[in-house]
Amino acid sequence: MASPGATILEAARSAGITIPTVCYHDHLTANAVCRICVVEWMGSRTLVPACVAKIQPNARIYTDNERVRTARRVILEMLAATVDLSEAPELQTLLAEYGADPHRFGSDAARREHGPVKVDNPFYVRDYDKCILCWRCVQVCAEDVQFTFALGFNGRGFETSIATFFDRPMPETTCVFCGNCVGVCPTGALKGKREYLAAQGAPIGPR
Amino acid sequence: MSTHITPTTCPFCGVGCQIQLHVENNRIMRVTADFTMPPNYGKLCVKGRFGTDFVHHPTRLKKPLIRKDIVPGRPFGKARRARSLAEDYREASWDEALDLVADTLVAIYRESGPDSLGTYCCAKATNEDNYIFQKLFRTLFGTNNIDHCSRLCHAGSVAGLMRTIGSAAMSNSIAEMENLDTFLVTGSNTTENHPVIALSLKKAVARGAKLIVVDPRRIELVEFATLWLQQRPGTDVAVFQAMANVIVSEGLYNAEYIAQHTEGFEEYAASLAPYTPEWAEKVTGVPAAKIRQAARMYAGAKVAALYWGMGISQSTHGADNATALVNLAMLCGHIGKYGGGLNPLRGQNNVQGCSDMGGLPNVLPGYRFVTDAAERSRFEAIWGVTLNPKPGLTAVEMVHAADRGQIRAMYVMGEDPMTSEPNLNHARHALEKLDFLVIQDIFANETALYGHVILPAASFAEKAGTFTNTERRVQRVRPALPPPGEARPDLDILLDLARRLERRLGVYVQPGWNYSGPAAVWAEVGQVAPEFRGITYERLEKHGIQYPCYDENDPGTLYLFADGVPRGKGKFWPLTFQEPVETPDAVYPLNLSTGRVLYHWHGGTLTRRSVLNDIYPEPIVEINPVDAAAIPVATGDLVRIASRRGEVVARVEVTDRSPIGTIFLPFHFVEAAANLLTLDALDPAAKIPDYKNAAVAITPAEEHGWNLVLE
Repeated sequence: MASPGATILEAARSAGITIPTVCYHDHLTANAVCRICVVEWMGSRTLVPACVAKIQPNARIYTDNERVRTARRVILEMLAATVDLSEAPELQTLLAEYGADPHRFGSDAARREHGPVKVDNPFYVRDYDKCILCWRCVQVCAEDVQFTFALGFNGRGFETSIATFFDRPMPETTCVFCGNCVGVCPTGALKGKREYLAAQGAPIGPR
Repeated sequence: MSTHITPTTCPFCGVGCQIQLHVENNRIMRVTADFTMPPNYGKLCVKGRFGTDFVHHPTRLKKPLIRKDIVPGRPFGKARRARSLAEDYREASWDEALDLVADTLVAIYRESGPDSLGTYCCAKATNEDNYIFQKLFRTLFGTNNIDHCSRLCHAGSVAGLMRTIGSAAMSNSIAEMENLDTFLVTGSNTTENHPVIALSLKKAVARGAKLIVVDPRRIELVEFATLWLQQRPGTDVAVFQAMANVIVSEGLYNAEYIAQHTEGFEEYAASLAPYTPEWAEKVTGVPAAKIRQAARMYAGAKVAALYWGMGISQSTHGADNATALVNLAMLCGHIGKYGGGLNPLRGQNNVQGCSDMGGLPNVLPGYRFVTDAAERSRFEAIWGVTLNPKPGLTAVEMVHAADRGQIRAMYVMGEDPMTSEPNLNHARHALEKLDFLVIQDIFANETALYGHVILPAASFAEKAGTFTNTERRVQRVRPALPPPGEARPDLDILLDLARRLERRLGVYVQPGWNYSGPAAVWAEVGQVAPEFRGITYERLEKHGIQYPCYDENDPGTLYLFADGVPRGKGKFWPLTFQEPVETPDAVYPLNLSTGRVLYHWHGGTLTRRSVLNDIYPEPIVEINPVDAAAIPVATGDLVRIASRRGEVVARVEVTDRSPIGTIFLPFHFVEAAANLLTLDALDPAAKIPDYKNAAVAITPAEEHGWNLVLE
C-alpha cells in the first residue's frame, strides 16, 4: 500500500517495481527534467513523470508497457546522439536495456559543441559535452544544499546549457568550491581537477 | 588501475563529515560522501572534498630527526630555531630517537620534578592517541601540565558553561538544525568555519526559522538573518545583558523553568537594572530598538537555540561572554529541548574528543576533576598508580613557565604554538629557554623547527581510531594508505615511548603499554568513563554514536539536559561589563580581529600544503572602505600592520565585511603571523587570550618581504 502523498516512483519502489531514473536523485528536489521515468496512467492523455506525479487511489498505471518503453528509448537515443555519455555508466546500462540506437539519426546529426573543457579553478573542471542538463548541479548550488546560486541555465531549447552568470570563470562567481555539484553529477561533466589531469596522462606526483 | 574506497572522518573542522577516500596507487584521487550517512548526509565543503591532498605533500616527515649537535650521552644546547631541516638535523633510527627522548625526559624529571615537564596533546589526533598521551604523562611522570589548543579556542565557553550548568559540550545536534524555530548565531562565521553546519542553518531559514545574528562583521549569515545586531567589537556582554534586561523588565522570562531548574534568579534580575537597552546603545552602537526586538524574538520563541564560536570565547572576558548567553537561555527555559540549547561550535576535528579524553590540566578523562579525591582514587585503582591532585598549567601558562625556567622540557604532539599562541615574539623567547623540546607531527611546522627531536607521525588517512565531532558524535577513522617512509601512527609512537619510560622510571601502570590497537584503548576509555561505554568499535562500523551512551542498547543522546543540567540547578551569574584590555588610541587607531577563512585551516600547516593554497595563497587583511580611504589604500595594495608587540605585511581587500574601525586578518599565514600582533593578557577564569581585540596602526608598504619556506 502506497502512503498518502507518495509519488508514483516511491509507490512503485515500495511495491518492488523498478522505474528507471536519470535526473532524479534520492536526496534532491525532483524536477522531472529528463522524462526517463515516465509511466502511462490510464485516462491521462500524456505520459506522466513518476518522480513528481503523486499516486492516487485506484490509479491504473503501466510502468513498463510498449508506449512507455518507446518513449524512454527515444529519449535515451536523443541524449546519446547529443551528449558524450562515455563516463555515464548508468546511462550506458539503460541504453543497452532499451535497445537504443543513437546512430539512427545519422552520425553527429545533433552533436552539441560546447568548446574545450573549462579548467578555470584549482578544484574541478566542467566538460559540458558530457552534460545532459539534469539540473542536479543547479539544484545543489541553490536551495537544495548550498544557497550559493553560482550556477544556472543559459540559452533556450537546444541551445540550453548550464553556466555561470555571463559565463564568467568560477573564481569570479559566488562559487565556494564545495564541489557538492561534482558529487551529484551523473555523467562526469563535473569532475575533480586531479582526476581530470590524471586521465589526461599528467603526472600526479607530489604537488 | 584499482581503486579502493575507504570510509572515514574528515580531518578538518568539528562538523565531522563522513567522507570516502578513493585511493589509486596510494594516492587520494577523489573524495565523496554517502548521502545516507550522518552528520553530513552527502554534503561536503571545499576543504573536505578537495583539501586532503596535504597527505601527499613532499615535505611530509618520513624519518625521525635529531638536531645535529646532539651526541648521545653529552650535554646539548637549548631549543633554538633551526635554519632548515637539512642544515640542522640528521636522520636517526626510531630506537635512537625514542631512547634520546626517554633518557632526557627522565633526567630532567629526576632533577626538577614533575612540574618541569609541559605537554601539548592534539585536537587533530584521535581519542585513542590523546587518551594514551595524557595517561602517559599523568601516570609515569605525575604531571598535570597537559593542555592543547582548546585553551586558545573554547576555553572561554568551557569556563562559562561549567560555572553555570556544569557541562561544556554542545547540547543540541546537527540533525535538529534544519528544523529550528528561532536561533541566534554570535561570534561564529559559520559559513566559512563550519561550512556544512551552515548549510543546515540556511535551510532552517529557508523553511521559515527566525535567525538573529549578533556579530561586528558582515558575515555571510547576515544575508539570511531576520535581525542583525552589529555590536562594537568586544561589547558582547553589554548586548546580552541588555537583552536580559528587556526580558526581565517586560516579564518575558519562563518563570516555571527558572523556579524548577535554576538558582540565583533574584540577585541576577536585580543586577540587570543598569543594563538598559539605551545604556547598551551607547556602549555597543546597537540601536536600543533592535536589542528589544532581539530580546522579544528570542524570549517569545516556542523554542530557540544559541550557536557561538570564537568571537565569544576568544576574549579576556570570554567566560563572561559565554555566561551571558547561558543566562539568556536559562531565563527563557530554552535548554534541554529539541532545537533549544547551548551550542559552542567546536573548531578542530577532534577538539571535543581531546578534551573528553582528559587532554586538559584540571580534568581526567570524562571531565573528572583531578582535585576530586574520590574520582582520583577510582582512576588510581584502574591504572595502579598514584595521581597528582594539583591541576596543571594551561597552554599559555606553560609558555610563561618556560620563560621563567620552571618548565624545562616540552612534548608537543601535532600542535603549533609558535603560530597559534598570542604575542609570538614573547612565546619564541620562552621556547628558546627550553632544555628539551620534542615534536611529534606529520609536518615540520614553525614550532617543530625549535625541536631537539622530531618524530614523524602518520596522518588521519594512515591510521585507525576515533574522532568526536562538535555534536558529541564518536566516529571511526580508518587507514586508507600506508604512512610515508618510517612515519608511524601517534598511538604506536606513544606506546613505544611509554614502554621505554616504564623501564627507566620503574613505574608500572595497569594494564601495561601493549594494547592490541586503538579498539583496545577505546575499550579502556569506556571503563574509566561510563558515558562512552555503550560506544563500541563494532557499533561504530555502521555510523557514529553521540555520547552519553551508557550501554550497547543505548542509541546515544541527540540533545542534552532534557532532565535538567549536570550542576543540578543552573546558576545565574550577575556580570559586569568590561572593555577589552586594549582599545584603539591615537597611536594605534584601529582594532584588529583575527580569525579564519574558508580555504585555510588554523595554523596553515595542512592547507598551505594543499590545493587550497592555490586559491588563497597570500595573507589578506580586510579593511572597511572608510578606513581604507583614510589611509589611503586600495584592494591589492600592501600594508604594514603594527601593534605594540610586532608587525606584519599583508595585502589589502577593501570590503564592508569589516566594520569601520576594525580590520580582520586571518592567522593561517606564517609569513604574516597575525599573532605577532595579538596580546597575551588572559581571561582570569578561562586563561584564554583575546584574539579579537588588539590596537594596531596601518601604513602603506612597498614590499612584503614574505619568504615562505615549507620545510
